[in-house]
Amino acid sequence: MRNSRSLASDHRRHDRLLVARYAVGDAQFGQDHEAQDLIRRCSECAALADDIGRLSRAVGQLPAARRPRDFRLTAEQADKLRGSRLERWLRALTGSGWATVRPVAAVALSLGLVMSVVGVLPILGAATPGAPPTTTDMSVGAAPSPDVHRSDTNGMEGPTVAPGRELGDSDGPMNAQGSADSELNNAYVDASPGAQPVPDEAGAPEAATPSALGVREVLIYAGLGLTAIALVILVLLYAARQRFSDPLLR
Amino acid sequence: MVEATPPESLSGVDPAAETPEAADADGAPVGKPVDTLQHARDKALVERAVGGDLEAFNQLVLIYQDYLFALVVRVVHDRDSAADAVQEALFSCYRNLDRFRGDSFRSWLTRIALNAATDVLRYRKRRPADPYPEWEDDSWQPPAGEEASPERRAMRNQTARALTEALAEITTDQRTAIVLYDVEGFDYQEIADITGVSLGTVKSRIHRGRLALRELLGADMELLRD
Repeated sequence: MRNSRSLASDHRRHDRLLVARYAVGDAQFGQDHEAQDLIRRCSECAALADDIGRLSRAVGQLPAARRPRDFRLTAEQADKLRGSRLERWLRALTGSGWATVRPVAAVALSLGLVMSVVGVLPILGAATPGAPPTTTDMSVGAAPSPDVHRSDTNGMEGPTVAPGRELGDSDGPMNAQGSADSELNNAYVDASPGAQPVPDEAGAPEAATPSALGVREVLIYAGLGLTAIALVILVLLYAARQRFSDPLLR
Repeated sequence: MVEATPPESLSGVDPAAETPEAADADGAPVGKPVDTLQHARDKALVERAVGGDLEAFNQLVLIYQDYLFALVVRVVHDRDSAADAVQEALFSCYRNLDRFRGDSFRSWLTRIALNAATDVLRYRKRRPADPYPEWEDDSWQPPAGEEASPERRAMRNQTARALTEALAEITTDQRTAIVLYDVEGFDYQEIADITGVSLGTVKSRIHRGRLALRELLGADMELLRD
């Protein structure tokens, strides 16, 4: 058992922060007894507790400084601080607008990038709606609106395959398709459930190729456009924020 | 139309309104935790000011300028810097009034003023040799009801000077927390909200700051015991 004299000599090792907390009623739950014990048995801890209370009161009674001037704003200062309509709008945009527009622009940016990437992927053709013709369509010679795309590539007007004609029986410019188109055609046919292999010279599957490319182009360009617009908005917002954000509101 | 120059009765220094504890123009106490009536009054003035009513904003300035200066000067320990910081804080407040959210305009304004004070401390190259050259003149408001003898007044001044100098020596975070708690009457949670730290950090700063003050005061603690 240590006596009070030895406790006092060990004051430097006592938890003075605990005593300071206890002196103003801030000791944590369960530490009251420990603080009371220190104060009861260590005279320096008891003096510390008294001093903390006095300090708190003394700081609260410190005289206040007189302000040297009146801080009210003049009309001229107010006009200058308010700024132009554009400045006020940009300031609002960097405030609450920033919190709203930034995530929207970020989502648009992400969406645009995804659209662009998906548009570039070769697998897209299988998923392009309306592009792959079915076996049934081919058997009756009714290719799904190939004429428009055909005219895009070959400058021809009118249906590529006349109704009632077998695919592959076509002649003229239809037979002049390159091997690249044929590969894409095969890809469409292979991806269609139950589809029959189509000869390279077949007209209808070839006609689907430009349609798929069109969708892909739309995806790529729309994605790039969306990305660019979102990027511009983000950059403008960031610049406005740098210019108009108030460091004192941090 | 708003006035460019306030009337004399408003612009003059009113000794009754110099201390943070003094009453404001409406008679409501300022410098202590505000109640819902004060919140409602402040919000109404803010709404008018956002709508372009400069007079409403200047009413807010009238209510809080003494409090703000007394607070900031204790943090930066330089009257000129404190005045500049308060002016900057009020400019910032006016520019961003439409961004005020929450219940307590006083807390919002306090945070802006403390940020301005922090900037002053950050950019100040050196501390003045005597931060309170005007200590002995009437720039400092004696505590209310202080009509004591010259000896007692001198002793009180000595105590205040020692305490103020010790306050200047502790860290800015500790000083800010102690001033907000012991002088301005904010509670722990309000201080945590204003300074952007946790409740535990606020308590720790206050308690450690008091311990540091006691160490710095040393023999001058006797002045407090008298």
